[in-house]
Amino acid sequence: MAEPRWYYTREEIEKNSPSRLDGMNFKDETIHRWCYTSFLQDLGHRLNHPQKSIATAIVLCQRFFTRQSIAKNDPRMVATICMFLAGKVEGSPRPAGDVLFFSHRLLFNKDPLIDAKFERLKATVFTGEKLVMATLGFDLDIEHPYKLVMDWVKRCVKAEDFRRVGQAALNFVNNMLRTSLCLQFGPSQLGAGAIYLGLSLCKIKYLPCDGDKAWWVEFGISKRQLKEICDQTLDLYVQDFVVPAGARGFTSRHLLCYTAASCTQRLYCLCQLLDHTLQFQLLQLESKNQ
Amino acid sequence: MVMADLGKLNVEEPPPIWGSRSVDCFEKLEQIGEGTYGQVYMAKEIKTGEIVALKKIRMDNEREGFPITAIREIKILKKLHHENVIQLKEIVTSPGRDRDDQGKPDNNKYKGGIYMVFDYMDHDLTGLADRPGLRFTVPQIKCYMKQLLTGLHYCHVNQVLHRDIKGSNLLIDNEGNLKLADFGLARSFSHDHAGNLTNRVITLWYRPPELLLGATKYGPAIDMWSVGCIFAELLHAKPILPGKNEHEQLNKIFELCGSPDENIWPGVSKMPWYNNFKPARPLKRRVREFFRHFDRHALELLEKMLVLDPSQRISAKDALDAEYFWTDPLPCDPKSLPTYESSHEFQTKKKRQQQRQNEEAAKRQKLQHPQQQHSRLPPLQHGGQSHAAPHWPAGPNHPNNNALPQVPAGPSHHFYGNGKPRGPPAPNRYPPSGNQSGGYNQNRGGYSSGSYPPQGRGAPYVAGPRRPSGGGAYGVGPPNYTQGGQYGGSGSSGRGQNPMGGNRNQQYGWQQ
Repeated sequence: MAEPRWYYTREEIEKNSPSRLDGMNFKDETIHRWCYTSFLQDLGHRLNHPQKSIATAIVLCQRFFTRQSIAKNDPRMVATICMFLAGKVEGSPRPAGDVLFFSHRLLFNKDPLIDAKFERLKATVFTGEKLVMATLGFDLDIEHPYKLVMDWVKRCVKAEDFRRVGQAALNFVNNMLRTSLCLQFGPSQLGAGAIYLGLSLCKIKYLPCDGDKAWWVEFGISKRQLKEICDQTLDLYVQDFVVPAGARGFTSRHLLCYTAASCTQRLYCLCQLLDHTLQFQLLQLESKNQ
Repeated sequence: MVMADLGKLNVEEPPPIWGSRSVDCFEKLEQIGEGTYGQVYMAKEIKTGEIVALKKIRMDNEREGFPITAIREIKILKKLHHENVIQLKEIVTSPGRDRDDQGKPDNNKYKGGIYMVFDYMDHDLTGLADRPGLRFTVPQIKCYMKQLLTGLHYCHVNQVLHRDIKGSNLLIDNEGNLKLADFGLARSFSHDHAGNLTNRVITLWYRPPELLLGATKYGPAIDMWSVGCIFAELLHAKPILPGKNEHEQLNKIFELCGSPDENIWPGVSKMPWYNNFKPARPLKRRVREFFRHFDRHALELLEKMLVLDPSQRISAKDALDAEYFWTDPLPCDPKSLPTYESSHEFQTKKKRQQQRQNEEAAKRQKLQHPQQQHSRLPPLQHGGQSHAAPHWPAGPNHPNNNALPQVPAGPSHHFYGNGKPRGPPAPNRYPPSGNQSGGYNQNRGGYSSGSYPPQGRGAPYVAGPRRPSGGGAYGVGPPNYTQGGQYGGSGSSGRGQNPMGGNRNQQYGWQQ
């Protein structure tokens, strides 16, 4: 069997995706990416799936659209199928009917009628499941950075900082799922990026413990790649469609601040915009500093 | 913005490049197996001419789409690459029908089946062992055991528990290579946080005491118990612990290995079902006594495998270092093993027909003399079919068995066997045994001491009961109307029921 190829360059993703060939521009596809990944995160939560299953669903869905076009496959349906499939893949299966039910509720803000149409949709899920698996060449074993990140943080970060660094890094892992990073880099490289961002956010200067070798070397990543991952992750927070409605009020102010190159400043701004956990931690940090 | 309509999927085009190929790349030659899991075909890849096995994933009973067991199996097989583990070469899809039920064109390319493509293997260990006239040599047994342990060690290192080690899941090719197959019950585990796992795994006769006592946290040791059972079976020439149900299985284990207590197995009294099953009086360990005819090193190794306390049971790695494998006669090179006539290719339809007639005849006979059911049956049968596995009521008495569809003629395993019944093997197909009628297995006395001459040490191969003429090597015994396992007809009946066999279709009911 030919070795599957699951990683692409950023340029390939931007210029040559199947959706692009069907006439969809990059910005639209990016919006779709953000929509279906957020939708999957919500759907997974409603279904009480562990984060690992949600992450698997998101990666399956993203990979699907590197081989199939959004113009020919309704991303809402594909995402629903990916959630159903990911539950089985990760050993936390939920019946197709439940997945569809919550999917419908999230998408249309009302409960579906359990009628013939619903049954037809269910049949579509089962056929679509085969479409997804065949498209992916049955590569269903998806690795995630979570464990790697936690192991490293446990091992290398001082006990008093462990919790907040760990939490911050895991939040970054989750947020990276909304970018196309999982199509460009492997789990250990993404893990390194998440740790780097977590450490910077918590203002911890990590000193290499192993001679003069940088700590990220063990993740098989170069400094250039690390920067690329961090940049793409942080970009996520300035795309205007990402900003939640409630936060729009202070977007522009923070976007201004964002153009300043400092990583900490950008992080500060994104905390305000998005992540309550991080925000809280940052405030704590600041009050300590004062 | 261009976007597909609600619910629309691109099902009218075949999978894109890099996706799965179509089953049309293969030419099906012959069906070689049929079980609860699905059909298995021998096939030829058209482009290369390579012979492979195609295992169709059965979907028709699925209420929740693609079976979770198959997903698990695919995930695990894709990670394992070892000469003693069956290689999943690829997965192919069949496009399905061109027209729907009303005869309208149906271009949906995803309504057909899904097939796993494996290396073609000629035999399985049980089938081979059951061949009339075939006796394994000691170097051959060592060679198979070594390969089994090597493959299993590889799985365990990769954090995979097989959970269904038994002879019919050990496939052997004509170059003497043994490969672990059927990972349908396999599972990944991690050392640091062992979650709750189901204890309804492993075919009853090979199921370790901790599972029978209700353990839900367990590890590689469970597979090693099964290996111990197979090892003893190879040397002893018949299954050593053929329990009818869970309770009897535990009793047989205790009769052989002694009853557990806190001294030899710390924590045993806290096992969930310990109080239901603990024997009335303490029993002594009698492994050495039962298998005193084994050679010293073999017995030494077996003793370490059949240890009640899983934490003290030998690991695959340590077993490979056992004296047994490093003393004369050494394990032979697989290449030096004799090749056997393939279990699949040379069976003619005529033979099958003949065999069906024999079955019919036997059935009629049995209906007339139902009470003879016990005294007439051959001593030892493995795998094969319901009617070929009459003498100990098939299968554990497991509630799940009720869900088992009645498959009249399944192969001896879920992967691919010859799907045809095997004749009753001679009592003494293995190296000499002098303990056929002894001790704990006396419940089978009806068979072993009735119709057959007692086997002396070193006795030459003695043919079993007269097989129905014309059936040749594939004659069958009377049909199986045994008590205890009304679904004895399915796949692995002759060897005790695969506990989850009938439940594979029901994904959402059990612990993972």
